[in-house]
Amino acid sequence: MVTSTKHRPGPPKLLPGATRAARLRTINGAAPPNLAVRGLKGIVLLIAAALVVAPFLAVISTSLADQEQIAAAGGYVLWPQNPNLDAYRAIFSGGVVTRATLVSVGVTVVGSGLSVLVVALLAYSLSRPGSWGHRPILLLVLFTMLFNAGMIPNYLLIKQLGLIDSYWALILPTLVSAFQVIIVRAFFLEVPQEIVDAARIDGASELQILARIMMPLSKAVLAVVALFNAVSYWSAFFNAVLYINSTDKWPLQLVLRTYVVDNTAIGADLPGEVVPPQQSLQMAILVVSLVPICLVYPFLQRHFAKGIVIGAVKG
Amino acid sequence: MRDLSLSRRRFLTLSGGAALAAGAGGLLAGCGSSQPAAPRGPATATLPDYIPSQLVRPDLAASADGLMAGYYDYPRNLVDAFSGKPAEGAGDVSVLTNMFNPVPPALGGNRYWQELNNRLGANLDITMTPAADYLNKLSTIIAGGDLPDMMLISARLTRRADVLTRLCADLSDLVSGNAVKDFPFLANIPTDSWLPTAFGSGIYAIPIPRAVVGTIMFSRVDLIRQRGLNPDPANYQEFVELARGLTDARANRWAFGNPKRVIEFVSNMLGVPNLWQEEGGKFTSEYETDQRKQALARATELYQAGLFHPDSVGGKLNLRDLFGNGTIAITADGYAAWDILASTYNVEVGGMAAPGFDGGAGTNRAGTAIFALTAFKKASPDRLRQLLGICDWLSTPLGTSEYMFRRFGAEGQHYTWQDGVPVRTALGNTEVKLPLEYIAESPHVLGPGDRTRVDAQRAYQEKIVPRVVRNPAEGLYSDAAIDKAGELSKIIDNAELDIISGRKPLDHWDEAVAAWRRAGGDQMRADYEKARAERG
Repeated sequence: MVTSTKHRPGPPKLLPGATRAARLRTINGAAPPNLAVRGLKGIVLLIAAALVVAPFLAVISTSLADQEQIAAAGGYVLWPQNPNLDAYRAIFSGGVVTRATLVSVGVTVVGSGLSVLVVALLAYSLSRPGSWGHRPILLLVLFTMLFNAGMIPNYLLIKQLGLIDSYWALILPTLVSAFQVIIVRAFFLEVPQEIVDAARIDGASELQILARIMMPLSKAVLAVVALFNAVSYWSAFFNAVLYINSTDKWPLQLVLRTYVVDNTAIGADLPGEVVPPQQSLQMAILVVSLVPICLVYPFLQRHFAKGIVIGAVKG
Repeated sequence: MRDLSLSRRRFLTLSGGAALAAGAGGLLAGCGSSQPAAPRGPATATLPDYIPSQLVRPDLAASADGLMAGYYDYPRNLVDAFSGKPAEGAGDVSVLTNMFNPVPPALGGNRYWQELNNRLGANLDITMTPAADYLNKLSTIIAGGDLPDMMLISARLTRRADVLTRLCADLSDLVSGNAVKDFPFLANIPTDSWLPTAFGSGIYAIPIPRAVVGTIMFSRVDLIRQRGLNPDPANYQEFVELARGLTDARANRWAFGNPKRVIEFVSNMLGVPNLWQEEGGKFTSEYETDQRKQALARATELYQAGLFHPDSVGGKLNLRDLFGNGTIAITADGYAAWDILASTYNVEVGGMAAPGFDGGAGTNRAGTAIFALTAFKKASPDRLRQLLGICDWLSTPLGTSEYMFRRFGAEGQHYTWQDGVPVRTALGNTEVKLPLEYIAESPHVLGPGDRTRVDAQRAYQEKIVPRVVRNPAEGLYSDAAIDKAGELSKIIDNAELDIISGRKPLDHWDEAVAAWRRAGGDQMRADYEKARAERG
């Protein structure tokens, strides 16, 4: 196979006296498209951006709108005429959502941290060719990617472990993901053996090698694992449905789900009871559940793309 | 340290429960034959007597055939239905049920819940689950083997008969026939609602009742009057004229938004049976009747005439909002929606009774008379009596102090009276959200509310209740009806939409019905005919 490397021309040299306008007229040496093409591109991009922004705007606006406007619009509102925070007040009244937020934060932080630790430990041991039981354990890990035990066997396991109504039932079942183990293992395999040998000559134990060499060198992929797990723990509600009976231990997503389920059951309405419109409540819930992840994501995004790409090509 | 080992007996118990629960969740439907047959002999259970409560006199009396009692105002002179605590000494009572409301604060921070326990004389430990996830929760709890004292048995639970008859308590000795008078407010539940609780010779649950009025075709009476149209068409032709008069595509206004409901309404005009028809122990499905096919043909004509909202086929419309803002003028919904639609959108709502196709009176399909069932863990008769006592307390009707506490909490703390109407305080709105109505409930009533509206609702019911057609399979149990409900309704729904939208000709209906029969319709028929023969 023949490969060639094209030389990329640099920007054309301009005379020192050239104007700024003249500099702007060239982009990487290529002549810029004419005004019509640029205008067309701008319009296309604007439409694309609007298509992305409009649903977000609709979600936020509807969460602030009143019943009259929602009814007039037939469901979604693009700009609230009389914005109010009734839906948010309804969600946060009584302290249930506040408590559930704390539960979710706790589960997310502990779960993601433990998950990174356990995945790194397992991936490291599986990345050392001479380690005991290396191949059968790797096959066992891979096997879990093919089959899921199912809801009822999982429930029986959690029950027999005595974890019903325990926070650990929200953390342990999804602590280790085979997919993540494979990615991190692939990353560890690419760390030069010479570095590991040098550490060993210096008297480092396996745990020290993992903690002081492997993990610092693998920050990108570990950040990906942390982010994956954080999003997964933050969004999870089904394990709580099955394993948690006390409502004061419910995570945020399950509490919010009770608002999303259509609460217009027969007999559920009461005279004189003023409730925010259902559509507003649902959109407010979307906003509340998305905000924390939106806040964290930009800080981890850099690692996220890098880690995924590295893990993908080094298998 | 906790012993994680399983004894052989324990393993068998667990795996048996798990298999049953898995079947209940539809996971191991093919393993049914490995289960011993449920005790469904030819013996017939004696249903509880219907003894209407005379404790409170409503403004409009209920009737045994399905008219709901009506109230114009909230009774202010409340009656104490119980002199003592109904479950004194019952200790902890675990309950599993679903919820449609936002979750209330837990017991420790919920004074309403604490006071409820005090009034009952028991510690209600309620495990609440969002309704959408309830079947999964129930299946896993059954699999785990630790049944709660009381649990909601969803109408969609597969293998319901096995779960009830093998795992739950037989209440026959406590509620059958005249024995139910010990629980006067359970006796106040009409017989229609008790039918699905009977299996073989036993009564295995109590019903959470619903009125037989069922689905109503609501119309925007204000819009109809504005256009000088007749809100009560006397035959199919007048119904079409009404729909044409309400449709103005340029103004974004249409008569209808849901083809399925219009097919049902036209079916009522043609006298189509309510799901099944029984003659001499032989069952015929409504889909197999010529009138049903004719109703589909008429609805297709209405669609082709442009009387439906353009997104009616394939789109997911928010029908209530569209009805409220006048985009559509006729929509079908549950009977409780009358108040919701009128109050939420501040519009005048009317109930349209189906006329006969060529004039006279049409029929009206009875609604399902239960929301779900509440079953009990097997226990001693004394314990069951205590648990039924709790349910009796939870079924006390409007006008009793128990009802007001249940729905509104403690006066002054959770609600105050404003112009004769109890209005919840902020604390009430937060704390009084326990899903007690999904453990046990009294029959629904009309109002209390605006006299004009209550009178309109009552007038509608007086017109349609005599024409109510009950489903002869109501109270008869069929595994296929539950296991294959999704698949069967999909066959019919898809065919209806294909025909209405013009994608397929009307003759496609015959193929769809044949497919429906093969997929489980015939099995349902066989189940019902067998159950009917056993019941005698």
